[in-house]
Order: sequence, then C-alpha cells, then structure tokens
Amino acid sequence: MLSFNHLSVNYGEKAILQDLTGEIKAGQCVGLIGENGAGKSTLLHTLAGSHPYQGEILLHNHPLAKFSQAKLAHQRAVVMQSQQLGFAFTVQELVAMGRYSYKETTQHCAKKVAQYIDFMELGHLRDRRATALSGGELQRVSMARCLAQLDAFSDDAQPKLMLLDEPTSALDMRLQHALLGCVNKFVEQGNAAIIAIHDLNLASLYTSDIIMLHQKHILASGRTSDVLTEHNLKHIYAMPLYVKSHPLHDAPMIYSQRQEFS
Amino acid sequence: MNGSITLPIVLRTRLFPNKWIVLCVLSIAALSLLSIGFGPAGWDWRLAIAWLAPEHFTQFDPLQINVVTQIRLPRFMLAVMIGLVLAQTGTATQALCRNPLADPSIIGISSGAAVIAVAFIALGAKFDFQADKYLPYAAFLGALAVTLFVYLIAKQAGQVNVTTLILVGVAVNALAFALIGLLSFYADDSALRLINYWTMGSLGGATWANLNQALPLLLISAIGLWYLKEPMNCLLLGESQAQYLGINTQTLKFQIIILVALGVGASVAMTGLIGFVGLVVPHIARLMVGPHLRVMMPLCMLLGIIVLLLSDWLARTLVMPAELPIGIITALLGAPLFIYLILKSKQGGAIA
Repeated sequence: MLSFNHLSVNYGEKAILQDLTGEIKAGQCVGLIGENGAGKSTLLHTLAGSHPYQGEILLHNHPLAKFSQAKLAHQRAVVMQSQQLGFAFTVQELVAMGRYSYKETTQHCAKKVAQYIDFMELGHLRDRRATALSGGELQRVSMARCLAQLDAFSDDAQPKLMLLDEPTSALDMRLQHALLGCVNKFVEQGNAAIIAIHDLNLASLYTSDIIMLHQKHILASGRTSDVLTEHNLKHIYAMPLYVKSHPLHDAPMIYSQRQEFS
Repeated sequence: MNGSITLPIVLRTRLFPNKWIVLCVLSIAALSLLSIGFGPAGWDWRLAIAWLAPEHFTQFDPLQINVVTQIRLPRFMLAVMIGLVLAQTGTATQALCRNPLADPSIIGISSGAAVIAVAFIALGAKFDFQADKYLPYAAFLGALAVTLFVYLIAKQAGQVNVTTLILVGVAVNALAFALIGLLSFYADDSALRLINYWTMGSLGGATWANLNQALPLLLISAIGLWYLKEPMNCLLLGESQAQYLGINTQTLKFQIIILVALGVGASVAMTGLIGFVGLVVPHIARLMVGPHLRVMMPLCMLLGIIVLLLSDWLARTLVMPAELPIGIITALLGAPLFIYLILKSKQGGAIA
C-alpha cells in the first residue's frame, strides 16, 4: 500500500536520508530501527507527508504529493512522540480532533470518540484536562485520536496506515505491551503500521518486518527474525550483543552486556 | 432541547456553556444602558432609549438626543466591534504561536500598525495629503509586516520559540515607540495631539463616518476568524499534528496572519493602542470553559465587548468632563487580574 523509491531527504545542505527504497504491504507491522540520528523520525514523517523529499512515495499507487491533507488524513494517521500540551483540552476534546477531516454530525463524532476512548481504556479520564495527564496517559490519548481519525475498527475496505514515532517511550511495561498489542490488532484488520522504536525486544515481539536504518541508508530490511541478527545489530550499535530465541514465541531476543565506563 | 439525556457525551460536558453566554449577554445589555445613558452630557438611563422615540421623552433637550445619536451611539458601536476584534485576534495569535502568552500588543503587531498610522498622520499633514482616508489600510500593512517579521524570526525548525517571540516583541515595541517619538518631531500641533492619543488608546474619535470606514476590515477579520475556529483548535496541538489531522497548515497560518493583521490594523487605526484585552480576555474565557475554541471563542468575543464597554465608560466618566485614555483603564484592570490568574492557575496546577 505504501512504497518509496530512491527517496532522499535533505535539511538545507545536510543530507538526512539517501536513496532509500522499500515497500509496506497491508497486514504488515513494520519496525523502524537504527541508532540515534540514523533518520528514523525523518523517514517516518517524510512517509507521513510532512517533509519535502526527492524521489517517489506512492500511497495506494498514487503519488503522496497528489493527496490533499484532508484525503490523506483518512488514509494515514500519526502518533507523535509524547509532548506536554500548553492548552488544557479534555481527553474527549483531544480525541474528537481526530475527526476533524470528516464531515459528520456531532452525534456521530461523539459516538466514534466514545468508542475509541473506551477501546483505549481511557473512560475514567474522559473529562480530565491534558495538563493533568501523565506522559503515558497522553500517549494513549494520541493513540485513541489516531484510531478515531482512521476509524480503525470500522468495516471499511480500504486499508489504512498508522505511523508511530517512539510510541512506547513514555509507557510502563504493561502499557507498552497494551499499546503495541493494539497496533497489532489494527494491522490484523488488513491495515499496516510503521513504528519507529528503540526497544529491540518490543520490536521483535510485535513487528512482522523491520527496516533497519544506519547512517542515512537502509542497512537491511525484511522479516523481523531475518533482520534482527547479531551481525546486523553489531554493525549498527558497535557493541557486543547476543541474540537468543524467546522461550515462548518465535522471536529473537537481544541481550547486551555490561560496559565499563572508561 | 429536551434535556441532557439525549445529548452525546462530547457535547454534554463543556460544549454548551449556556450559563456563561446568557450572563455575558445580560451584562452587555446592562452595559449598553450604562454607556449610552450615562455621560457628561446627560446622566439618565432613559437616554439610552430616548433617541429611538424622542417625542415620548420631552424631558430631554434635543441637544442631548443629538449627543446620543452622533457621539455615544457610534462610540458604543466602535467599542463593541473593537472589543470583539481585540479578543478574537488575541485568541488567533495564541493559536498561531501555540502559546497562551502571545498577544498582538505584546509581540509588537499593534505597535507596528501604530507606527505606520502615526507616520501617515505626521507626514500626511506635512505633505498636504489626506491621511485619514487610508489610515485603516496603512495600519493593516504595518500590522501585516510586523506579524510576518515576528513570526518568521520566532520560528525555528518548525516550532515557534516562545522566548524569541516575546523578546522580538519587546524589541519591536521599543523600536516602534522610538519611531513614534521620532515622527512626532515632524508633526504639527494637531497631529501631535492625535499621536499622543494613539499611544494610550481612546475611542473618542468615533464618528459614524470613520466607523463606516473601518467596519469592513473589522468585519472581515471577525467573520473570517470565526470560521477558522475549528482548524485553529487543531493547530493548538502543534503544526505537524494539525497537518496530520487533515489541515493545510500553510494556508491556515497565512489566513490567520492576514485576518489578525486586518483586525489589529483597523482597530489601531480607529482607537490607537489598547493593551491587555487580547491577552487577558482569552485567558479568562479559557479558565471559564476550557481552551476548545468552539466554546471558548464565542464567550471570548462577548467578554471582549464587556471589557471594552466598561473600560470606555470608565475612561470618559472617572475624570468627567475630561477623559482618560482607555489604555490606562485596560492596563489597570487587566494587569492585576492577569497576575491573579497566573497565581491561581499555579495553585491549581493547570495553565489555561
């Protein structure tokens, strides 16, 4: 559903991404991993349509640039890194903003908002102001807003794309798994997701495919278990790593070792 | 409306702050009796309605009726329009900068408009040029130039930097006042008096003629910003987030800048610099009903009208028969209230 060919991104003179090619199909949950500064966030936001780029990005076989913002909003949603809000919106107001691009009655909007608030188990925080929410709660509110924006669990035939930028960084372990489980459920409905994520073990458990970025280029991409190898990871992180298999799942687990500070 | 049972959850809580709206409308009605009825030329609430049917109010001098129709009524209309526009442009500037501390008078938009207006007055007299006619448009251009300038400087890597924004505002304000001071050297006596009143604001210049002149600009600004309240609301989440929600943020920002410059430019051309309204009124409105613009903006507009009507009435009655500049009143009312609000919200832990 989303493909990019010879994609390059520059900030002024500085190249951030160089000549990337790849494809994301419906039903795939793609992890975007790489060291700090490898270009994960930039790739994510470029694919979301907010950065100028050279090369080609196709969404449902149409150039990304041809979509209007409103049309794009029905096809893809973005969960941004959690950030504090200066304005004290309530949780339901924040989720309702996801429905901005839909021409619908307030009744219908309210129904959708309630549905996705309940789905993310935010019912008890419905009228809480954003300024009184924890980072983790805000993150789940963003997730609820994205689900509402895509109307993620409707019977719509068109596959949708969700892009998540470090969605688990502010969450505790239980909520990390809850959120990624929710992304997986979204993908199982025939949709697709791209997650920029630092936590390799979470990536291993919840993604079907990995795009591994290293110094502005794609180092490797493919099935998660094929890409998360000691060889690749050592190349990226330049440190000793061990890859073992998970006792329950068919997923590689990555172990690091203590480093003495010198 | 048959009760709250059928209302969907989103609407039930805060989207219908009827009590506040009703309260504001009642206050505006009371204030219109006060501001049209009570003044140096006549102190009777019945004056506020006497002009509608002078034949039934024989106790009033025709001269008094004339004062009402030719001086107080246009002044009342002007106060309503300016109050509404100042509150709205304040709200819009805050949405544009995504910061509740942004305000046209703080970040220098108003003083930019004032410089151009003063230049027109001062130099217009010198070069025998009909300045009055183009004043609102000239002030609009000044406001537009400053808005673009401040916004572009404060924006770094897609984010509006608040510290830069306010510092640039301080610099622009200082520069503007220096220029106004410089220009007043070139002005003759009557222009000098006009310039003086410009810097502290006054609604004393209101006539039907110049109200008509500024009204189109004020109305375009007010109506335009009213229709932008939903996308501006999303813009408060941040620029990229707003874009991902389906908003063409480039167009939106452009529209906000033009409409704010129109409103501020026309206001400054009519009344000079009136500070604090654009900052304090949206703050109070947010504390009352929260930041959602669908609810907050109508309330904010009504509160702006209330503040301007009250301040203008105080300005012309406190030192009767002389007049205080309205900017002094709004600052005296606004600044302590603003400090109180900051202290209160600190205790509550929330920034409105």
